Amino acid sequence: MRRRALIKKFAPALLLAPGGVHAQVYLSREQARQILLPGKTATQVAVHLSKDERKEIEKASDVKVETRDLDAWKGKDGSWLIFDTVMGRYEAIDIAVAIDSDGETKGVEILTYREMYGYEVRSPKWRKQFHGKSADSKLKVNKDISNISGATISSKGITAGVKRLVHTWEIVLRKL
Amino acid sequence: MPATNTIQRCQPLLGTFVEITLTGARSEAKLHEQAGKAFEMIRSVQRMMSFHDTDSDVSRLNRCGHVAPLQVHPWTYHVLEQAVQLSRETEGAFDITVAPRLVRSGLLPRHTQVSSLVEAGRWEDIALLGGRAVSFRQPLQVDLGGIAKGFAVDKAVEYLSTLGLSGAIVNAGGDMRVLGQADSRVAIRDPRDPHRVAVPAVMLRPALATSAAYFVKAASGLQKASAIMHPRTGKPMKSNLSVSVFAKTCIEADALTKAVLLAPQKLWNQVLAARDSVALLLTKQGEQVMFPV
Repeated sequence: MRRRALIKKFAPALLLAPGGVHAQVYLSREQARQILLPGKTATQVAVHLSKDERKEIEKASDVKVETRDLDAWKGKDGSWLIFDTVMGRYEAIDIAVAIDSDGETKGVEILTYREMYGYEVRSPKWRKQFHGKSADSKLKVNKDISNISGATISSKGITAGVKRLVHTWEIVLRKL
Repeated sequence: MPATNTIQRCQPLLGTFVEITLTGARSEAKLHEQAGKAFEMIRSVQRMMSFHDTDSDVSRLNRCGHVAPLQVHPWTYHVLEQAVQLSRETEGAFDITVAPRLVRSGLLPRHTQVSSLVEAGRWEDIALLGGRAVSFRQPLQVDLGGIAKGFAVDKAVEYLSTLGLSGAIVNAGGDMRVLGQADSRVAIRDPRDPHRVAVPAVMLRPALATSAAYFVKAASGLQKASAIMHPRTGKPMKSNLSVSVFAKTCIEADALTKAVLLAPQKLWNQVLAARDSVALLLTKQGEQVMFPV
């Protein structure tokens, strides 16, 4: 429902924007594994959440469970690494969450962040309006400007996603 | 000499997305380890100054700062000093004691009973007693949300500056500071349409922060509220103005954006010049104005 609303909202912009969605890639899955489970061997575990389990997780976390199959890896020491996608208000974010054998969150990394900017930054007209003294002469048109300042974007969606995964550990993963 | 590498990491911290970009002549693995330690500095600031975390210095003060003096971490003490100093210079326009009004509008969580949320306290009631001791002259609630994010960025950059990197950028949801990269370029969001970027800018100082009176929706959902409260009327500001401030440190940039949004215009030049800072205002009509003028 929410996803559909998002697509509806952005469809016109996607058609008009030559760059479309800007995807910022921070880490590959393998890099995330090395950071979050350093020096540990992990094996992928197929976890399918039953209807009852999904209901129980939703009740405990107060967060909707959108996917039935978990992308989860288990380390030899009982820790877990879970790859997930969280929908923010305007963006889709791939995250990796590490949970230790006591159910404590040990780390959260953003893998990919997609949002609706990027096309403006690539336009030469936009780039010509630089503020500041020495900018125009030194402007490198090919270099992407990735740092954006503006009123803070809330990371509440991530907090909710992590909460859902911690309850998923409590209800399902700890028994595996 | 090892090859120069660049890495970029992002973690959800301080209620937003914190991005760290590092460039240096060392392995990517080493850069990732150093970024991890910089994130840890930010997490420390979050633990001390969070309004949400009941164990933070801020929550301890808000519970019983009016009963007896409390010892806080030197970092918390420093941030309180900076906040009070700016309140004095802006004649109270910048004020970290407006938390009860934020709680009431649903922008901050409620820890205590409604009846205990006393709203009479102001910044003058914060007593900084030296030796890290703080007390409140009457019950009040402080919220460092308008200044601690910038401070956290500074702490991460201070740590990174000891590592001999060729460049670093720490960007906490728009509050950012660069290290060793002259003439860096950034983009500033459009106050009329916050999911688009409007204005490109050159980093006139190492740190930049932007505040605007849009973007935050009240939990009640009935009325759009913004996290910037006008201290005199106690009401959320509703204009479509955004203020970006370039400063030497991010705590200054962060706090000065609120000071400019809230203080009478006659004070802007003085407050900005005292910190060698520059403000860039974007209005809903698409105007761009720079201060000091």
